[in-house]
Amino acid sequence: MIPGEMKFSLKNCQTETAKLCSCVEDLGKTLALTRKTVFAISLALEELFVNIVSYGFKDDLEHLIGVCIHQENGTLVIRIEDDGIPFNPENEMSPDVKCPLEESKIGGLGIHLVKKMMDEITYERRDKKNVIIMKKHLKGN
Amino acid sequence: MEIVEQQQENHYIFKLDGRLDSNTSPDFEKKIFDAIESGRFFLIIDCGQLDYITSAGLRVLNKTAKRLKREKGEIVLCAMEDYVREVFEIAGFDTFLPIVATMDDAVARLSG
Repeated sequence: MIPGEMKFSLKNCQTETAKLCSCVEDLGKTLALTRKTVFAISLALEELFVNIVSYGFKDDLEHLIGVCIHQENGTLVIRIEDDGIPFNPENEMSPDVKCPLEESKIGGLGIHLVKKMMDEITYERRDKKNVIIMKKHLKGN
Repeated sequence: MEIVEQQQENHYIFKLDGRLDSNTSPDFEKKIFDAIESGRFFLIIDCGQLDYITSAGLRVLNKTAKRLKREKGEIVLCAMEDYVREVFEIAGFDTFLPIVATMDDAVARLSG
């Protein structure tokens, strides 16, 4: 394990978001991150996690979603993986956020927030798993 | 999350304390729509103690704004932390949801 690395897994159950956020809070304390950065990481991971739990599995079995976070040259590298159906967030269209209220669509909003909160996001399908790696630069945060 | 509701003159206040996420949004949605059903069309959402919001929370506010527009009502959000406000801006929700600095500003806006 890389020093300062944090690893945890979550069941495919919506209420696991509490564990997710408390783990990110702990990481924030360990690495002395600002509230704003902790918020951005929690939000990005929670949006992806809720998406996976809501749409990722076609069976009623228990699945584990793995999260791994480490720091690398002033950048946080956040990895989340699941064995659900293929889902590439890079293919998600961003919603039109400048449209008037009547036309505002709310689909795709979660992924849009993830992309805006993070500095970089990459996806790969590896060994029948979705692997999303996000990067958040800490400088200036 | 704790939600405190309070009628004050002609407007109805929701004070949010904690996290508005996929677990707590259904409860907030029920409370806010119950209030609208009972004729409360001028709402203030006090976000002073709101320390977290996800797209699930934004969806409830979007639905609320649409409904209130039909009822010729109004919704104002106030006292938001900067990083919470940023989420509204990224989502483009600040274009149709008025966000003001203080409770007094919110009251003034609804009374004006």
